[in-house]
Amino acid sequence: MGSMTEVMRKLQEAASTDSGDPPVDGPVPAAPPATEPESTAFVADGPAASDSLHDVSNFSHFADAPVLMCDRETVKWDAKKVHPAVIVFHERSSSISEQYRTIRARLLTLNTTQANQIIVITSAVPQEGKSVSVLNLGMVMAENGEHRILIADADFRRSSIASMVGMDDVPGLAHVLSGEAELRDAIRPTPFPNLKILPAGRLKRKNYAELLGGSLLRSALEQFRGAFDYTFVDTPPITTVADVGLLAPHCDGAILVIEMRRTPEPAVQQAVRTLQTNNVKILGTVLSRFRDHRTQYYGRYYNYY
Amino acid sequence: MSTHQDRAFDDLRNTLGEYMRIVRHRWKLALVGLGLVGSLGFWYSQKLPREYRAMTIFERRDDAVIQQLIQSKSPYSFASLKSSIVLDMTGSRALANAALDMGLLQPGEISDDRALSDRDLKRLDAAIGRYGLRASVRLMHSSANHDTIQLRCEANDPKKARQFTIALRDRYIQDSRDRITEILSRTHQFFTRELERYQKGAAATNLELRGLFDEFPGVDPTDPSSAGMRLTTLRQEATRLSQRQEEIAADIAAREQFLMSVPVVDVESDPRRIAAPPDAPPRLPKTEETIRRAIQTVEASIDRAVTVDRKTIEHPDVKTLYRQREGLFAARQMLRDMQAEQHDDDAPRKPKVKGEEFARWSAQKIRVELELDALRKQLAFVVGRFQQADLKRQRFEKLYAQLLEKGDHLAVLEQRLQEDAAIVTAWRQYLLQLNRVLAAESEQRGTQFALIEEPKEISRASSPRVSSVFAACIGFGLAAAALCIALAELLDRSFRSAGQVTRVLGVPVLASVGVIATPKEVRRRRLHGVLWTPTLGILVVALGTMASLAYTSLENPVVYGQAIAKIDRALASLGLPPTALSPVGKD
Repeated sequence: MGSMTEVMRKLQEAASTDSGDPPVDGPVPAAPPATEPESTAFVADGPAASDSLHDVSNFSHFADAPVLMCDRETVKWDAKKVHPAVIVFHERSSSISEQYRTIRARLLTLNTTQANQIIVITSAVPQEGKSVSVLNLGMVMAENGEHRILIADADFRRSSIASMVGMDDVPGLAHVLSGEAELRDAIRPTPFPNLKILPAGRLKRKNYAELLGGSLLRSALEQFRGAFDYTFVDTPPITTVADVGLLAPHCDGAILVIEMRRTPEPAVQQAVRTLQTNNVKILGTVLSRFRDHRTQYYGRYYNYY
Repeated sequence: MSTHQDRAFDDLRNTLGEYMRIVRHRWKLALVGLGLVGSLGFWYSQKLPREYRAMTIFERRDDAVIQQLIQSKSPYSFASLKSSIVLDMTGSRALANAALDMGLLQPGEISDDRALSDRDLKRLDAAIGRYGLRASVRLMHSSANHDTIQLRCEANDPKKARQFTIALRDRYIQDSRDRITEILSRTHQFFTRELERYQKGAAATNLELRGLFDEFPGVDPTDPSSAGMRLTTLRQEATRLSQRQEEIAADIAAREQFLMSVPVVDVESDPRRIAAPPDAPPRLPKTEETIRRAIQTVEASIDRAVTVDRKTIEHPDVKTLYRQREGLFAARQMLRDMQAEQHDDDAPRKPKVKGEEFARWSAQKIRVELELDALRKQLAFVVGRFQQADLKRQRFEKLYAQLLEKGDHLAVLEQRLQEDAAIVTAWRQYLLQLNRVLAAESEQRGTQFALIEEPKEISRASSPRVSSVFAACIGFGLAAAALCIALAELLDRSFRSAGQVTRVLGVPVLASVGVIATPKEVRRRRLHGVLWTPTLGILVVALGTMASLAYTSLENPVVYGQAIAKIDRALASLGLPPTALSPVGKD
């Protein structure tokens, strides 16, 4: 409730300061006018139009969001191209969006020092909802405009972040880590001024382990930590490839995504052991595809609010 | 304490909640187990052998007279009949008779003896076992003379069960009637014999008691006072006759004296004349008159003492009076003897009369002679009567003396006679009642067998019960469902709750994110629904159909048979084999 009240307050402030006050935090170019038409097809479809982030005018308050590394450029996403699983984009006030906000609250609570953090999102086995979780979590972290958020896709083999939001995958993190592209060029704007996305990129060479083991990774991570309050790194499953073992130790923590009633318990235990072996702090787990009558019970009250 | 209780309650609640969560998640699998096992159970229940129960209730009301007549411990008593009712109705002989009545056994197949041989028993078992016939008896109400009897028979065929019930009941009623009639006949014979015996005994006692006074009818030997009065009466009769005898004798003597004083005829003057009679007839001397009055006074005293004062002749006063009377009799006799001697002295001195006077004396003489003749006849009669009365008195006095001697024995005899009379009266009463009961029994009005409930046409099986079948099938189905859930949970190594994750991994759960309805998810759900919905629907329909068939087969076998026949015809028309279910009770 508090966050929603805060959002409403900021929306009112944004409406009153729509003349384009300078950003509070540094020389970031002002965001484009919220009513700027997009060349891409945009469909504010159905009853969810007022409840979605399809319209950038809803995010004019993000003009005040501090963005160090990137400018305050925003883009409109074609709602048809954004994967329906990006529920925070499509149905901002849905109960699932609220569940992601719960994760946000927990993360903010855990970060007592208010330090910039790089958090790895991984899972034990494939197809557990890591990318969906990263996208939705990044959006809910960015929606209040207080934090600079970066979503980085480090799952080079089965990258999905870019495709899920309908953006080009090249250049991406792989290109940055291989020295083929600059980080500034690889980071993409989103409808949220304080949310950026770094796609995975696609290389002809498949030696991704070498990329993650190189010095550029640490440099990139340092840049992430310096430029963003929270960087969420989408990684491959921990029990299938060793990428997480290379990446996670340089990060501040890991969140393990577990698909309920699917992920075998031993695999998850192995994943936890692997993370612990690599001295990775496990911040917690996110249970995806969670079906519980108690959740449904609470959902009724959520719909009431 | 309360903390422990709260914790225990929380644990219980959590456990139940966990079970409910599992059931909610696995309900489809559970429904598969329930549907499959339940359908199989209901299908199998239709193949179970049926048992049909027929019941009849009748009452037996015994005659109160029979109850009074027959001792309670007698083998023929109502209590004995009641105690043997189970054996009488469901014993081997009763079952054999019922089987014969139903035509399950032929008359020559089994002996008529009351106790069946081993060979007969085997045949009987084979005959009733073919239809699973069983019988049981229950006394629903029992009192001293009224029984309400419930007879229940079970068989695997509804008609046979009903026939068996009727046969057993009718046989029992008929056998009971025969048995009661036999009892009554024997009792009647016994009563007759007993009555005769008591009558003979009473007659002998009466003879012994009354034989002494046979010639004195009306005398009660057991009542000495009445016998004494009778003796007094006899004595008075004898005395009266004696007195009458003396009076007649006195009259005779007077007339004889008159005749002796008749004057003789003076022949010289008038031969027809007779001597003139004296001026007055001779009178009894004054002394004799005095004696006679004294005798009368004494006899009056005796009569008063015996009747009014109720004194016996042994009483001293009465004896004294008798002695006085005897003395007076003796004195009067002596006086008469003296007068007779005096008359003899006067005889030669008869006067002489002549003519008409003699004729007058002659007529008087003839009249007196006639009177004298009559008096003599009377005297002879009275003397005879007196002799008889005196003899009778003497015998009665002897009997009376014996009566006084045997008083106690006679009292015992009298008491025995009274007892015998009472017993004879009672037995006569019994016999009368028995005759009435026998007459009533012959018209089937004695022991009342009233039918309260006729065995009904059986339309439903008594076993297996609908409730049992449904409880078993649903129970097994639920058990199968529980087993499916348990197996699924055991084989499922995935995480199923946030608590499990925290418990196993030791890592906090940041959030539980529900299922996002993506098109892929929607397709997956649709596919899931396409697969599961028909499956579950088929299972539910199969379960419902089998349950309905099982219910119908138990509650309405006729409709069930028709339905199975239609299904078989439909299957045959499709070239499919018929159901393995056979209509119940079709034969």
